[in-house]
Amino acid sequence: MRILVVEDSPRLQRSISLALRKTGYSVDVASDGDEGLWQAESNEYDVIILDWMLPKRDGLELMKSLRAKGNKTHILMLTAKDAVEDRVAGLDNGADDYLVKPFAMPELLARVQSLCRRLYGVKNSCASIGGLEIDFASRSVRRRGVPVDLAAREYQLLEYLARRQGQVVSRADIEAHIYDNMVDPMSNVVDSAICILRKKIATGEDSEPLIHTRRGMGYILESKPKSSC
Amino acid sequence: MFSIRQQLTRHLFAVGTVLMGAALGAFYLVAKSELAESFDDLLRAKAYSVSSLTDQEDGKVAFDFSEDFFRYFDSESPFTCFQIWDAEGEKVFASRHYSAAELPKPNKGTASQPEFRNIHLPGGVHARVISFVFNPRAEEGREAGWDPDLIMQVSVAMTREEIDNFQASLFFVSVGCWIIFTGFLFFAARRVLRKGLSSLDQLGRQLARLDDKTLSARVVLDKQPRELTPIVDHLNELLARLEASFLRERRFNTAVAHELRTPLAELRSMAECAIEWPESREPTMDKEILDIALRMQSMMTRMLAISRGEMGNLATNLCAVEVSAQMEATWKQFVSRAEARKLKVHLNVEPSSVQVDPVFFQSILVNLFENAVDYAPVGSEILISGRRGDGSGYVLEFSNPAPMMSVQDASQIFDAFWRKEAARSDEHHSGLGLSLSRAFAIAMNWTLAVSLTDDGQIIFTLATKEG
Repeated sequence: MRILVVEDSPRLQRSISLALRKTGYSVDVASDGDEGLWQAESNEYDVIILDWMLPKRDGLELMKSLRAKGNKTHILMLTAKDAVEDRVAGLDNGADDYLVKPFAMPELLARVQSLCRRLYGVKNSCASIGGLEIDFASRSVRRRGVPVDLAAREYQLLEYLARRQGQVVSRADIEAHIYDNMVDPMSNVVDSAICILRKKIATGEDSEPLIHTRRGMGYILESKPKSSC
Repeated sequence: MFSIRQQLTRHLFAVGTVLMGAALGAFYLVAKSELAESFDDLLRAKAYSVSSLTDQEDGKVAFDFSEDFFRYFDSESPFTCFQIWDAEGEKVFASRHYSAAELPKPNKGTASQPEFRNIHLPGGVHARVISFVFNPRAEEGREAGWDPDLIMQVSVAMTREEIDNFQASLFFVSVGCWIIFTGFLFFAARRVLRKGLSSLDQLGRQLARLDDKTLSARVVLDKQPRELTPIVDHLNELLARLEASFLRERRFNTAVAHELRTPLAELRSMAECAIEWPESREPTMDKEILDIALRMQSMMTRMLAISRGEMGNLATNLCAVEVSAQMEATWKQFVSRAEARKLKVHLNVEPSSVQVDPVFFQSILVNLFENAVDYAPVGSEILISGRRGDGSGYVLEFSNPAPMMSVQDASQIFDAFWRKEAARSDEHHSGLGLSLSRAFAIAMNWTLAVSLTDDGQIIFTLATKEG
């Protein structure tokens, strides 16, 4: 999942980015409204964490610009403005969630995760595919009851595939949602990651393969592969 | 607590009732007196007719009472009777009615000044009697034998049942009118006062609806009487001031909350990350935490100073300071910053000695220089002048272009935490500098004011109160 953090306080920016990255999200940051708008329009994000009072262009204006252009990315407003009318204004103008500073980091992470679930229309916090069980809340994975140890980025990739279970997910989509701007588009980082993930979730020789390649299209996570038309 | 309306109703009712009672009483008494006078006139006329029909004939008394005369006397109501006595008191004639009754004889009454008195005729009939002595006139053509010493006494009585009844009716009608008027007055006074005081009621209702959420409302009366105009005008002025004060207070509370929320969020998120992911703890974190703590401490110190200044509790140590030297010395701190922003600064300060607290004065100058240097557009001109004012005071002016500044901004510029830029990322400016400078200026008996010219120049004026 790829998150954009638009926050003018460098310390908060660093803390939030660290927490999100440690939790497995890929994170881009912006320090003012203009930069935030440019980033949001240039990339595809799952969630934008947006401060209200920003230099150059305030968060509300940024959000209105995005919504006016049809951008449906989930936005969590993270602001010191705590008055009821401010919350109402934020939510009325397109915010999907509103969190007041100071905040508890676990709560911010839970809200981001909730917005991600809503993004993919998943209400259940668990997914089960061919003996593979993924708990989105605890970010743990088991195959036939055996815990699978995944790195943050690997888990993120698996979660992304699981949330779009049964759909073909292109490499570009994976790059856009799992990897930040630092990834070279020409690299085979996605293929390598998929390869490693396949090995890790295959607990034995007889394990049913769950991640299937659709040549020229991408990857699909499902229990019984369907032949492509 | 008394009610104006009830008090006015009571007073109006009491005054109206008394006045009406007095008027009706006077009317009754006058009418009664007039009736009595008319009655006496009638009685007198009858008595005179009796006396005029009593003649002298050859030194003897003769009575010329005809049947018509008696018919006149015998009319049904009021009944009239009379009796005539000679000088010795011997009854010489009595009318048919009440002939057995003994009418009182005159004591001193004469024809010109007869006596009147009230008596009871037999049967308890209330009557009025006129009595006088008279000298019967001589018969026509026989005046030669007229005895001027022949004295007769006459008393004529007339029943006064009719006049008594009429007077009683008049009394009851008067009392009835008074009662009806009193009742009418009671309702009329309430109605008139309700209508007359409706503007006051409306004012009261509108004021009762006011609270801290409806301070933008103003008192507007449908029909505003002249007497209430100054009250309404002053109330509306007060409301406007109260609204401005509440808005300032609300802005201040919001600003304080906001100013504290961001550093608190920074501290909390940094601590939570350090606990959760200690391996990712940055080496500069402790320094950053100290910076945040110092920033909050500075904010608190400034707020306390502003608060003390507002309460007039800032202690000053006034002494003479050479203002141009102080300005030159302070300006040196900002030369490099001004050059970096390509600002053209004109410093023209007349040498003079002013009474200031050196620490406060320095703090104000630093704040004004800093604002000018940091917020004037790049490459613009800053004019700083100092001169003796028209009085004995000294005036310092800091002027620079402020194209983004509005009149509303200027009106809020001394509010604590006010900043043109809503974002709080600039840690060098807390939004407390100008509030604090004004507090320092007031403590030194100086003034610090701001004005915005039509061509977008913002001018801060620091002056002694005499200037």
